[in-house]
Amino acid sequence: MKTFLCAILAAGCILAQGLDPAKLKQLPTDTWPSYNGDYSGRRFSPLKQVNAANVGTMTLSWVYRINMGPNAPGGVSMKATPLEVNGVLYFTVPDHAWAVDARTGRQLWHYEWKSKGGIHIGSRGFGMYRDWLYFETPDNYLICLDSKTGRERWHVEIGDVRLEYFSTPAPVVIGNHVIVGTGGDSLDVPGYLEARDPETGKTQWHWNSTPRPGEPNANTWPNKDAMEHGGGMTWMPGTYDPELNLYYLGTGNPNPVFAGQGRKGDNLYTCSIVALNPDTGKMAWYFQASPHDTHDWDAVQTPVLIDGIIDGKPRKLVAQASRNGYFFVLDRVTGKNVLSKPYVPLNWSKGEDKRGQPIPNPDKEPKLDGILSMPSASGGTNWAPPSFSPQTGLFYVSGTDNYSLLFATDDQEKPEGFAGKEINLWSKASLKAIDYKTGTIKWAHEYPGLGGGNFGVLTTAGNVLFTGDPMGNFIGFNATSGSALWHSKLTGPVANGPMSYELDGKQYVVVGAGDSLYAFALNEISAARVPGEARPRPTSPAR
Amino acid sequence: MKFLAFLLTGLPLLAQAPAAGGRGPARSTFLVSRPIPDPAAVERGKALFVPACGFCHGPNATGGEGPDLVRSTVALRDEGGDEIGPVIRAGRPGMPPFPQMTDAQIKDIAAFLRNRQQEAIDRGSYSLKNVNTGDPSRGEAFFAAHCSTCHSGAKDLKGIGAKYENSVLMGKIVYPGGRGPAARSSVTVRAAGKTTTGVLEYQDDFEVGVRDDAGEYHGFTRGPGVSVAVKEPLAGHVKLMKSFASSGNDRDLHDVLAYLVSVK
Repeated sequence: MKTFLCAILAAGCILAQGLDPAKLKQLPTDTWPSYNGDYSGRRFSPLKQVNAANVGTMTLSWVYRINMGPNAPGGVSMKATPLEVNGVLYFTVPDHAWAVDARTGRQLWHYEWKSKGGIHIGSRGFGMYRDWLYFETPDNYLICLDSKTGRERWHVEIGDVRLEYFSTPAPVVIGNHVIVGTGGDSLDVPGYLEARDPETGKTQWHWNSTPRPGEPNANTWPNKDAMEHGGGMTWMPGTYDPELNLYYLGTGNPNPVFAGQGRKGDNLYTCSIVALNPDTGKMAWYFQASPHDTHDWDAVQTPVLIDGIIDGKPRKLVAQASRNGYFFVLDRVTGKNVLSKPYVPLNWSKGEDKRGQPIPNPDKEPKLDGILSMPSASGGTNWAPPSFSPQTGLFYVSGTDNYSLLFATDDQEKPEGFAGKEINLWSKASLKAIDYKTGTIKWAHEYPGLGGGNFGVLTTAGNVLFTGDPMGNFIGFNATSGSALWHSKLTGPVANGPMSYELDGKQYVVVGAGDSLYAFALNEISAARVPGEARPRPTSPAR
Repeated sequence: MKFLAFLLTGLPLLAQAPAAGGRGPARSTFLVSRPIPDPAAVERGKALFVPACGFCHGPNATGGEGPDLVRSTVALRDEGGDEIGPVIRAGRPGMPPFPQMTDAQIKDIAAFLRNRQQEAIDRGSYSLKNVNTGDPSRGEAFFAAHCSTCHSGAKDLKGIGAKYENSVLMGKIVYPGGRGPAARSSVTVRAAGKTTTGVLEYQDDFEVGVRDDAGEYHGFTRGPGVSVAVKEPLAGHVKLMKSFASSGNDRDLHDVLAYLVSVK
């Protein structure tokens, strides 16, 4: 009896305290508790108040424009996908974090980090554990904030900015692990992924994305120096299968970036999809999307978990539309390849080996006299999150057909840094819907005119697909047919992955563009609000 | 023998004229967040480093018998000699000590190493070699077969080889777009019985914007009864670009470049 009471009290206490950990494993309805909304990376919202029949009447509910104070830099863009927990949105840009009321966009708190430097290219947002929020900074600190007040609890260094690391990913919380990665390919430093303790920030495990001498696959590098300076950054959040207890991560390109002569070999585990045990950091399997990459085509794009059917049999799959232009489907239990098929025109591959890995054409490596690269170094897609709808069975990616000249600038035996340069020539953006069973493009929507760009995608049970176009429109498409149903012109192109949540019976769709967040909802829905009631309202166990 | 190698690799560098005094290299403030060392200190540091350290660390500090100091964590963590100074003065296993080095000299060596690191970090500052490996006669034949409908080496492209760097010209052969007048599409919109023609100023899935000859902007909402005909001026180049890209190597492109470079 006493134990039972304690258990109830403990459970009540947990629910009153910020994020209920059970929400991390559920479909995102009243809560969007992690970067991708749930662990699968599908970015599929089960909400359907807004649907293909009525999305045309969706209108703006509120706009929140970030204010970083008088010394703010220009050109900051909202790359974070906000978390939504108990009626509050939490999001970041480099060195700054905010909480705003998810119903009104009213600011609740703002936190600023005093930076020591690092490349300020983006911040993809928070991870959350109960009451605590975690984000990473350009100078490689993991910062823990109290979600109620925005006050800092602690910070720990996860990488050395003097070695040219900088950190952009949203941490991923699995059990009592805060999984953090880092980026940086200006100089030649090795990549790694770490689990940190949510209470203290102490390191629980450390996984190197390149082997050390004597370890398996060290023979995919010519020597110790090359593998210890070989890149393989971990700059995007991964996905997680709780049943298999495996964390799926796409790794970055090898270094030096555009010059491969000092790192002959496949350069594992760069440009790979790896499956790691989140409790130990031990690798279960790997699949290399770009062996011996020389085009900056990191394979960090979300490895999306699909529970699908292949040849009539139910399969646990993981799919990636990779920056190198290939769409890959793997068995996520074993890592065995199911299919590899280009989703944009490409000219660098001579086909696939028996593992399904592309075989790079050495004639298409950057050279002193230049090569015509298709796609360009920015890739068939980039980091913008894709989406998979279990209703349509389609994998949606914001793709770009593009062309550039790539030149080697350093032909010495041991080049350094990027060691090359690019001249971009031509690009055209489109939205592609890929059948995960065959890799064929079911439909593609080409945006009029030229200009590339990759825009995050959200699909919903209302059969609406939300994404952006190069001209700054936020568009709702019919997810089955690809026809545009609704749009709104924002002040800049969509910069993040759109997300959705329902509060007081009202579904909101939130997207970031430029320095602002925009929230949309159906015009006719007025949320049930109780006058005098405090907002944001914590979710009570009874609801 | 090693000494000779040192002389051969070191001397040309020593012979280089120092950078014009007073101004540092223009560095990308986006990519480079640490202070940019004083160019005079970099030059003094180089003059010290090359004879004293270059034998083992390479004249460019990229390593040899000794470690690469562009990648070295000690050198990257250094500020004004605080990390490398003790190593220089005391030596290490396999590295002789240099106890006579003054604080000022160590600071100069630190400035030289920081500059070397920033040369690698600041990819915007890399220079292209602009080598030209193509065969001009093959290029001329390709040009005659694929480009001569619109272009001529004797007319519109006369002297083009002297006008651009090879790398830029190579890009223009593939797709000379950019935002210049040559890349601007013309458009004809027919709506409500009226025809509007001009330069295509804006387009997305929902709107079309036309700037007419008088300079007036006309915006149209796309939909039933509105026809939009866009004329792409560079459609031929897009076709050529796709065929170059699909060929599996870049020989034709290099050959056309070699031909155009030779056009006086």
